[in-house]
Amino acid sequence: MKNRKMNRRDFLRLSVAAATGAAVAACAPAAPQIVEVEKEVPVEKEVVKTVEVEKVVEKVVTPTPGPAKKPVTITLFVGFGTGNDPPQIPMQEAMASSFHELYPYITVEYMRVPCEESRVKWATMYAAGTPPDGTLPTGLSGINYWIEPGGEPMWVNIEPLIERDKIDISDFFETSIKGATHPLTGELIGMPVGLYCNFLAYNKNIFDKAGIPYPTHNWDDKSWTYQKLLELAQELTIDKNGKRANQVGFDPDNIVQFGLDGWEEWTYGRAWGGEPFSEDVCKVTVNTPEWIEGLQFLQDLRYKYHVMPTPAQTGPLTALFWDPFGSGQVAMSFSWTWVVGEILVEIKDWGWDVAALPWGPKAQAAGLCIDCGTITAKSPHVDEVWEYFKYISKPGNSERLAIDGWGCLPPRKSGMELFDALRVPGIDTKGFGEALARGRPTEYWRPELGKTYETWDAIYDALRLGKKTAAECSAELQKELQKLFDEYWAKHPGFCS
Amino acid sequence: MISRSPFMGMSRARRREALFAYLFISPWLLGFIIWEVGPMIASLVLSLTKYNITSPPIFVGLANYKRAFTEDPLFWHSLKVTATYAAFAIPLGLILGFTVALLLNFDIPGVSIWRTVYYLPSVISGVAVAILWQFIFQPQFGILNTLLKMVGLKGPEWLYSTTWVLPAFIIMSLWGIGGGMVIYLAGLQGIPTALYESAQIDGANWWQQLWKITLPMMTPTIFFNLVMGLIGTFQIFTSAYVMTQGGPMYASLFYNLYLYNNAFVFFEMGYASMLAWALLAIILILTLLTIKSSAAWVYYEGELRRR
Repeated sequence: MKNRKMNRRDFLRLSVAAATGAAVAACAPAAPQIVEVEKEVPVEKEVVKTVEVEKVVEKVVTPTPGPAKKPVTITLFVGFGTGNDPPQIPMQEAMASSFHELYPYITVEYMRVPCEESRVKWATMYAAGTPPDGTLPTGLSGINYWIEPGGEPMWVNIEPLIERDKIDISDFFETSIKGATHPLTGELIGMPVGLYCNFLAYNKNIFDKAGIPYPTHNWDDKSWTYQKLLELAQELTIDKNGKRANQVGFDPDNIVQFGLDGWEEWTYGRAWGGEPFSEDVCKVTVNTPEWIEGLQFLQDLRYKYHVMPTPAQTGPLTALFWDPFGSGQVAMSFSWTWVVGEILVEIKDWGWDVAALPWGPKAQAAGLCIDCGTITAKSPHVDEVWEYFKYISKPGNSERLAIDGWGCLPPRKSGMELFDALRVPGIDTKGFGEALARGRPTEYWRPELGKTYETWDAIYDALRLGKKTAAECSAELQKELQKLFDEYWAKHPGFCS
Repeated sequence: MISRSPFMGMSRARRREALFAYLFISPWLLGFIIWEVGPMIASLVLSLTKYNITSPPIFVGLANYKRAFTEDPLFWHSLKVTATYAAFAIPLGLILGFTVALLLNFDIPGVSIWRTVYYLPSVISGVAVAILWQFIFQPQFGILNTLLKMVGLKGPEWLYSTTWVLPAFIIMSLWGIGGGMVIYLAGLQGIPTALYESAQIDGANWWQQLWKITLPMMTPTIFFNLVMGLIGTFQIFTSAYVMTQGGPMYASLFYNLYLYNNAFVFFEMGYASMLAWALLAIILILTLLTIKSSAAWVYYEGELRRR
């Protein structure tokens, strides 16, 4: 065949033809694939590479055969928290694939957005009228940022769906259901898919070297108090001259090993019996003596006793891992369970374990973060998203996705058994369950959530940097936040008396 | 009156050429109208509303403007932080950029390499630079405090100190002097050598040549860099967003960061839009004042001035 040079007209013709072809292909409906068979699907396989896991087989009842349904693609937003780490993705995709086998007309697509860009992305898509069909997962603050009493609802209340489909949620941790329930409307706006809690980790090597017994694993031991924790931390905080924090001549500017880390305002405040907001979120209560005493103890750990690194001292400890405990130069740390998957499983040079949380004057407190799946109220595919949420919430699937897909603790109580059995060898993982039982959410809804966070951080910065006492900071915060709350509730009458 | 087509009177070839010109600029023009002018108009309209994304905008007139100027202490605080930063960063950047350009205008060995070395930092992405400077300012192991320690000084806590965080950003701003330096270099090389030759014949030393020839001849370039610096420093955002998020205790809450917080943390889009327009007005006023002042200190070659 004779070669012919393509002229401009030919090129244009070809371009138009290609564009038309692409448009036709894109608009054409996909061939319906309805396969309705009853089969057994293996829903559990080896969850963590380091341990052997019993294969759990769940009998899956396929949807009742009915008229052929139109193929639907649901888009789930991943970005308000966990879910974007590369090792987490295969499990999420595997879950979506196994779901698609059962529901061939529903295809699940994940829209992955880096966490720091997620709010902007979501807000922009929502404002443009094209939000994803749901989020999976999102922390409570991810949900609560968008809630305004009397405003246009962003999330579907899933309670009627749970009732309609007779889903038993009694196996879910009560705190997770309560946390995902809106405090004003009482609507359940998120399906818990994973949990995180505070726990006390300790470095076994540091204790062994110091010849000091490990902190107790007995959660009922009420002699294990914050005062004891401080004494232990003082013994284990060492300066460059080898002096301990409780010795004369200790140099707080040149510490080579810290006894404790983990600046957890809520945990300390609650252990002393405080709570920053009233249950109806109408009142700010950071000026109570309990809250202030708890926070003052926390600040003293850093600036009076020098057993906890200051923000400036934290830098060198985070050279390898973002959490100072990963440096191996911190004896104990109030950590969060996400640190387990992201850091602690990587530690090979030294051993660590989970101790019981110490008792404060009033309680043994732990913070709790809840990750949920939510359905966007504007989504045209509410039922399809709900179908997927039901699927991933089934026993077996729920644990599998929580542990390997999101890197968190399972939302079901029964799932903790599996977690205990498999997570990290040699670790007293029952401590996580104990901490969960004592956990209370920190990210629940309150008026002007963004401003509350911002004001909280700006004012408590002075506490964190040792510039002001807990009483001074809390008085200032009380004034600022209560003003914010009062102005907010004045615009939304009927909620607060 | 009969309106004339812009193509009327043109030859066919000229018409064709003009048509192609419009065709070729249309991607930019359309992009500018759709993605720049459109959002600007939208933000102007939104600045008169209360809009939280989840509900439709509610018209509130000038309430957002009133709130900023009379009720919002953080508006004034962020403006003060930004103005303080600009008051130091702009002159320092101008002086250092000019000084480096003067030095690199000498015929020294490897001058091209030096010019490249000084220019390179200004083309590195803002986030990467911010992370780099976080390490430099780290109080325990940062290079800055290590150097200070070597001369017997205890370095401050920089980004963790309400006193030192702003000076830290001002020091960091000098990282970008390479951009201005290149413009200064171009200006320096545009000064006619005849001026220096006649000055030398008259016995002027280097210092006198600098004051009497170089500086006056460079005033248009300095003026350009001043205006660009003014616009740039008032828009500082990335470094503060990455390094401090406005802390500690709002000490580095720059105006644009506050604007971002209002838009994407508090979801007050109407108020954030108002802040954007207020910033435009502030920069515009300052630029106009600078242009107005230029008559007194900017000298253009060939310009005749009345005494």
